[in-house]
Amino acid sequence: MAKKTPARPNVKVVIDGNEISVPEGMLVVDAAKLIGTQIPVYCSHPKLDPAGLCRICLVEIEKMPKLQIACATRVTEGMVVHTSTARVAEARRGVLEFLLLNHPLDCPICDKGGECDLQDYTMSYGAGASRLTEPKLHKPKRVDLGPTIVLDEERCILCRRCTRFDDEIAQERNLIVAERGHKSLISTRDGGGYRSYFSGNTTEICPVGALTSKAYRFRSRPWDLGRADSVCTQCSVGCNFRIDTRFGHVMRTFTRENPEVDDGWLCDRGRYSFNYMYSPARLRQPLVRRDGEHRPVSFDEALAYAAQRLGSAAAAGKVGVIGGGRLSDEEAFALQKFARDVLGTNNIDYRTHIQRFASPARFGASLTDIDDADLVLVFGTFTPEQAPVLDLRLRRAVARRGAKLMHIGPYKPDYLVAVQHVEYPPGAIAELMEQLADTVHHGREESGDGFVADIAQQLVDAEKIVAIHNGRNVAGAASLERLMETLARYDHQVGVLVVGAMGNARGAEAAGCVPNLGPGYAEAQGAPGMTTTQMLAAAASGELDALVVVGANPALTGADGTLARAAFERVGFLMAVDLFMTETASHADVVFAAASFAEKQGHTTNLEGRRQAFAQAVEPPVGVYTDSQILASLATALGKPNAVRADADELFVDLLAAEARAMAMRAKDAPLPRPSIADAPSSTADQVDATHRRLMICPIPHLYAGGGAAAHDPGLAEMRPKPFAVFSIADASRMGVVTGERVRLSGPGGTIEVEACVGDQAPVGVALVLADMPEAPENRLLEETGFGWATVEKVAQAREASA
Amino acid sequence: MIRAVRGLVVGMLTTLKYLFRKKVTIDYPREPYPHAERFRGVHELRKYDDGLERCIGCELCAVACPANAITVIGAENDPQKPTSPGERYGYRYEIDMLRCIFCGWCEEACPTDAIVLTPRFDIADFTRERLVFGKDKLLVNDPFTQHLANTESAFETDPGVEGGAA
Ligand code: SF4
Ligand code: SF4
Ligand code: SF4
Ligand code: SF4
Ligand code: FES
Repeated sequence: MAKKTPARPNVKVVIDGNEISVPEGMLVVDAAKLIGTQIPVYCSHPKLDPAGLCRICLVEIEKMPKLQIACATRVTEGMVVHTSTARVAEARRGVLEFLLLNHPLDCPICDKGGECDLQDYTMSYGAGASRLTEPKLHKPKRVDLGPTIVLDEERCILCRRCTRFDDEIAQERNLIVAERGHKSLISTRDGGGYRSYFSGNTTEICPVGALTSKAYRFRSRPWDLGRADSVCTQCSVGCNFRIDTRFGHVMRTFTRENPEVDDGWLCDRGRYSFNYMYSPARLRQPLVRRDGEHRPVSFDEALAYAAQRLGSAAAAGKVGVIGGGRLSDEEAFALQKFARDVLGTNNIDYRTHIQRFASPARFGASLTDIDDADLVLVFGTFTPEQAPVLDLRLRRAVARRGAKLMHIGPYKPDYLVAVQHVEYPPGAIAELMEQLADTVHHGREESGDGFVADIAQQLVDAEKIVAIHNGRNVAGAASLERLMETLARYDHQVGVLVVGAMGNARGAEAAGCVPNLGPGYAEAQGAPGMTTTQMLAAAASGELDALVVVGANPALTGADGTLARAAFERVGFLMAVDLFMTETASHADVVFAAASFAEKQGHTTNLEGRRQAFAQAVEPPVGVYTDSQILASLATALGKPNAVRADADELFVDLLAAEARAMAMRAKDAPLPRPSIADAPSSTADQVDATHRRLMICPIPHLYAGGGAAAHDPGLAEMRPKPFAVFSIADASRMGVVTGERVRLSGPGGTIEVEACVGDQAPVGVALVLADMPEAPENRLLEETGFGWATVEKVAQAREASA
Repeated sequence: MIRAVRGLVVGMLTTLKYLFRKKVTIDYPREPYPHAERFRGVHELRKYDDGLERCIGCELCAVACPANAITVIGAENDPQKPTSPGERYGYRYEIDMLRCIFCGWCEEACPTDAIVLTPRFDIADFTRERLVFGKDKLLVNDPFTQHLANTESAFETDPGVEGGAA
């Protein structure tokens, strides 16, 4: 599906006597790399535009009287470059002398020491001794740049990589160089903190130790670190990273560039989420509830108790299993095997959010397709919060290549780049897609609706179209596919990405954690089981005796929180496997403590369907086991010792075999089957209440929200949002609410208290409420559709009323 | 027979000769063991005159150590109550005396002259654990007992004047 760009003619250049043929216009520094010649660079970075600021890359080019900077000079036919002549060496020495003039002698305490380009080049090309006799210029050393970063102004060599990253890649344009000359320093445009979801990347690309991350400051030195190649599992993008450890502790994470996934970037949620593993709140041994209180017990005791209760429920066929989206592919496979082969039920579902499917049935796109798309159509998801590193591609495509971004949804999201917002009720997406497909097919005359014709025209004008959605609206997705098919028929390149609600949603779906499908999307044997919603409803009405929830927290993340809470209170036996005492786990009769991602190995599948392996970085705490070990032991305790394996490698072999079988059975190119869905109770959520007594509640995602790891990670504490709700100006003035005031939202399932915020993103009659916050679970107000209704009152008022 | 007697006499004469010489054995531990001037024994971690620790937790001694005997964990100084000058200090510092070969490379590597080897050598003990010396045993608590007189803060000296790297 790659778009063709006209190939540039090759030219011949000679670098240090080696002749090579490279595309015209390539930078000299890149051409040199091809023959293994490393030209030193500071300001130049492969992902950033050439800036030519530091001059360390000077080389000699024949027929040019002066030395040229290799990082901004492009090759031409017959160019002869010398990179190691005496003139070049002298120039490098001079540049280094300048850079070091006021550079402090901090190497022994500098976090970059050992992996610092300034150290390395000074060793390789520097003069060896200083000629400076005056005192050095001193600048502030511990400048708090924001919640994640500390700046040492003395160490900065003003290469501007950080500000250019913020400008070109993140498109946020907040970091700047303030002042002039030797007083120049890195600062923010508004003088406030450097708050960005991508701030950690600047510490990596800073060639010196000027930008250091608070999470890693002085904790270790680079040569101490043990490294494990891992994959971030915080969202469904699946960025590759390396986990650096020391003494069995995770010290930091570092990008492991994969141009097809992360392009060398990480978001701060992914980068800094690891200290939760050392949180005192982490579960470190199994708990069993006796007399209403959770008591720590031995693993065997918990196992025996769980096996006894699950065994009887399974014998009666009244058991359900929820989870899989936060597990590895292997463990998701183990979980569905546990449900099907040990408990003998098809009641297994990974879907604990509003998401209903994670794999586009057809036209699956890859992340790189965003790079050359002309039009990106987004609905149901807000990529900056839910797939940050995917959003970086989007930002670049829109801001730098002029791609169009179109958002369809009930409220106007805060995109950083130009976005065309189509306000549209989420329930009616399918109709819109159908209309678009018809209009594209028949031409615009046939369409009566003005704006539909307008969007259709934009679709027709775009050569390559990528649609991104959240896998909620099944009918909408089907209609989207029809639209895509129509467009493809008219020679458009099309693709669909579904942003997973959990890191491994797609992997869990592919591994068979759905009621009607087994591993590899094969039809499951026997009658399809219940979906999460159905299981919860059945548990709430007493039809299910036992529920097993593994790595999920439906009480907080489920669309209908009221139903989830009722189910967990009513069900006879609830077993939870988690890292923390989440709301779901707090209802459980048995809680098993699970290992985190850094503490096990396996594979995870990202939103494109790319399966990536991750290695174990550290050992889990004593007494904590991986999910597959827990499931395997439980299977043994239930009398099926060989049904589930504990070893990730063995599970992976089984999973591959099962997938191969499924693949062989499915017709080639056949669309992927969809997981079965529960019929949502009909809702009036799409219409705004004309009386304005109640507001429609629309949950909005936040990168740092969540009730498990994010809530217990001290590294993220400063970035964590406070629960808030955004009201339109009209609603706010009618209710007399101003920004910053506490308001109480009451819905059918309870009441939450949040901070009010008045803004124009919220349409009239709609309140945008921060989702997934354990302090104020917005899903008390929601229905199964993911939307809800609530009345709003000011907290002071409510107090008076109750007094 | 004659030979045997002769051997015995020569042996006894040697004994007699040494009996009246100055003894090489010393009454250790009542008498101090005379060591060479640059004898390298147990380490100590030094402080500046103002009581701040010299060690900045840079781990250079640990990388230099051929026996892998040193473990350092650095941490950030509390700006209000610093442990050492500058931003970083040695939060934990351990030398495994059973591993150490007393080569003195750590001393060589230290940028602040914090770790030095002293002539002390009598560290026999009954358990291995007690022979892993931490800061409690290594740190010289009274700065005036230090063997080196050089006590100015390296951080207050201008590195430019000293002529450091480049
Ligand atoms: S802080 Fe680092 S990346 Fe930014 S200009 Fe200074 S040296 Fe370059
Ligand atoms: S974008 Fe997602 S996968 Fe990538 S680092 Fe952030 S949370 Fe992790
Ligand atoms: S004296 Fe040598 S062996 Fe002993 S700690 Fe120092 S460097 Fe290591
Ligand atoms: S003793 Fe010296 S070399 Fe070792 S960590 Fe401390 S300052 Fe660094
Ligand atoms: S790398 Fe070429 S000028 Fe900086």
